[in-house]
Amino acid sequence: LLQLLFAWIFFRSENVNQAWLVIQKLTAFDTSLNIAQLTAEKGPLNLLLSFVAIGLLALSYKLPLNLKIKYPVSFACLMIFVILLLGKNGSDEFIYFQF
Amino acid sequence: MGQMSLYTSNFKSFLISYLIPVLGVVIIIGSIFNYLFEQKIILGSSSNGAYKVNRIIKRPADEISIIGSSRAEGAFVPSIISPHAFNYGLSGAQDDVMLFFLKEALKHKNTHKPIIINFDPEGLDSSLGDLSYYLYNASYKPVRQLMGNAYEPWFAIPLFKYFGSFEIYTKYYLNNKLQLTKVTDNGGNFEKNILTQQKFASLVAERKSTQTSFKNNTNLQVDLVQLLKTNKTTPIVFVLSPIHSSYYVSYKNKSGMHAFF
Repeated sequence: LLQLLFAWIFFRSENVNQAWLVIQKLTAFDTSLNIAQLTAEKGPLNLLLSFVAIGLLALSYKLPLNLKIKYPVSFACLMIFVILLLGKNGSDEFIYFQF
Repeated sequence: MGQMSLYTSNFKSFLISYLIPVLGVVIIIGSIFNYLFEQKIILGSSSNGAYKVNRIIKRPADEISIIGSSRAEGAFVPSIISPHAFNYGLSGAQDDVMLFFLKEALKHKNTHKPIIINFDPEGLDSSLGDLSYYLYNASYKPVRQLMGNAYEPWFAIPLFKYFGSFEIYTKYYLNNKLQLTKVTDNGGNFEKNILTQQKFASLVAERKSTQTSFKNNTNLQVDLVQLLKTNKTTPIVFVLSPIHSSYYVSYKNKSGMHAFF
């Protein structure tokens, strides 16, 4: 996993210099408990939602392969609200954009 | 013929046992959720842009209103000015929005309380800022006109019009309630976190290399002058809030700004 995360630096960097800069910053261990920096200036809500998203992704692996919905109406309603509340309007840069 | 009636029968059963119940539940729960979300979350945070737009439409009679962009939002502490002062500063919004606020404020003829306008040195230009500011009042004609091409017909549908904006409203609400990263004061929004020296230096360097010039949108100027001429009752005060010296390093046409003033 560590190797994968390290490779991701080169994958997402615009050039080798930028990748090198990221590696330098990562290994400088110049850390602080400044909440703005900890949350990449996106706020604590975003940090919390990131952990929720990771948790949901982990839970999704526990779902059975032959999943049958017992209450399809309730499930459909729930999904509509989840999409409505957590959906994002507009298009952000796709994560694999650099391919 | 028999197959066609089978399709019709299948569709009918899908409609009755699935589609209608789903629509019914979505409409009922959606309406309740929409009402609670608007009353508690959107209107429950004074630093929220949607709250500010809604408030200016119903401007309280004894209010000192502060209007402008994010510079106004972060430069004026209303409670220091007066217990009846309110900061309408909106991040990312420019003079077309400022003019909308001014027009709405001046509609209330019964007030003689001043309006403070924080004038940005960039001059007169247009920018709506975040669309979430306008969604709650999207059915109000002047708001619709202000939005112009950004207005979509689905902004008239309750709940659905907030698609993609729930996060930002919740963020404002939490900021207002928790005061964790920002301190809010009657619409004013002030950063609590202290920048590290390194970050501050990098921001100054970035600002020094950013070219800025004075713009003068003549349509906005005509509107502004017209409003100022027709107003006989409400004192309007223009203020230039303090700006770090690095701002003027790459400022291109200072003479244009001086000539305008």
